[in-house]
Amino acid sequence: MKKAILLLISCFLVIEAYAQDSTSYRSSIKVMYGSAAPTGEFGENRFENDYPPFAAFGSMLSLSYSYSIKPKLQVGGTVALRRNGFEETEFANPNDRIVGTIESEAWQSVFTMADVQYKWYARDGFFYVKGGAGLSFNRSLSYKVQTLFGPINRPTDNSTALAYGINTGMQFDIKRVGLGFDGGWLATSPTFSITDAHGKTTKYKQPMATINLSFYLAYSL
Amino acid sequence: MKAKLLPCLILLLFILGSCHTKTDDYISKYCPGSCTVIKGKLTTDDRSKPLAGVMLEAKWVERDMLGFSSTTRRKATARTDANGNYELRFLLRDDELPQEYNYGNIIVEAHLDTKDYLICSGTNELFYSNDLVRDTTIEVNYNLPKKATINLQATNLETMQPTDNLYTGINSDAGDATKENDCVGGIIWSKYQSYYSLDVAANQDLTIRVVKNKAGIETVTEEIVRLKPGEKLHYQITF
Repeated sequence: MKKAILLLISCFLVIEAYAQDSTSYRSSIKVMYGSAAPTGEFGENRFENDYPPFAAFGSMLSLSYSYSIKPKLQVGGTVALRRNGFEETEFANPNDRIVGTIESEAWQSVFTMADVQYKWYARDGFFYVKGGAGLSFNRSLSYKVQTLFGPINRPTDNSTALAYGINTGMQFDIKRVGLGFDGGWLATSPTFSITDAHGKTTKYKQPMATINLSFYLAYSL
Repeated sequence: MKAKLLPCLILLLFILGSCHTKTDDYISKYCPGSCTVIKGKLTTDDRSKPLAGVMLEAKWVERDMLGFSSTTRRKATARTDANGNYELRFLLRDDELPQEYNYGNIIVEAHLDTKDYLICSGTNELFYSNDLVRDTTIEVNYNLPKKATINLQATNLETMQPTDNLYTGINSDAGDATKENDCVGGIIWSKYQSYYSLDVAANQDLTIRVVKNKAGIETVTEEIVRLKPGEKLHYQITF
């Protein structure tokens, strides 16, 4: 146990010793792209619910800016676009002879977030933990499923909501350019309206949380 | 040779036991046309109070003769509104329509705790049918009272002769609302058992009817009781 603690302390000392190069830049921008896996109620399709999410495994593209206010502490902002398509096979069996063509538009969210990031420097990069909060501008899933008995429509709606998230990752630096891997959780919970074929309008709150795994490219200014 | 039969039997049971499939039929749930509709109202107590917020589920269930395999398709769900009204709208598939050698049934279940509510079948099943068709609406109303218990005890049964008999009946108004008091709880007493417990409806007037046939003379007594939900009444009958 003592050996392990000593080893850990030694590692941190080495990391601190090599931290000078990375800390010399005050700000950075990064472009990130990766997966967005629905989780919680966004990932569950309960038959009892009037409108299950049918959210498929999706993707997220984000652009971040960070500015150092202390050697290890940065503040900044992120703009992100997240899309999760229609999980068609959950809705209808692909071999269902009743079902014809399926057209759909994905769940879509644009996030504008303010971030706080804390870094632990390594010899050739750093680890970080980042938290953020802001607003999300969301568009709900829509689909039109043709069947032998007529179409099934789910119209779309737009809604704005608070958003929050937490990320962690690591970045490898080559001079001003950095390559990194990021893992995080991003959530929002907008309220949408939907009008069914009988003219009945229902409001429903849709938690939209995803677990995101991304690679990114960063540039230090 | 005998020793090899047991693994074969276990394998056979495993194969047969693994044939239960359950699917969610969203095409049926969002019925695009030619819908079958089951609608009605749920009440409780003595039909005076609507039963709001109860989840109802329609499903198609087909079982083989021995129950080793089954297919269950969830067809629709609905929740009763403040007035107890519900509407289950779904699309029947071709293999769910009435036809020869169709062993499937459309079943409507209430998501209620049968420990608290008296559903006469003893299960959550309210309705079943194997002859529903498309483009049709049927109305079914149900009364689902809360449950109470009457613990019946008969005394002096040892004097019962072979020609004598003693019957106790308590009818609750539970289930299909087109029929009154059709949830029958009845006991034909014998000298070998002097105690029975019956689940009955709470918040209803219940008639405890005792028919005694002793030495060729029949006497009938009736007493009306009303129990609160969860109440247990001890009731004694003397032969």
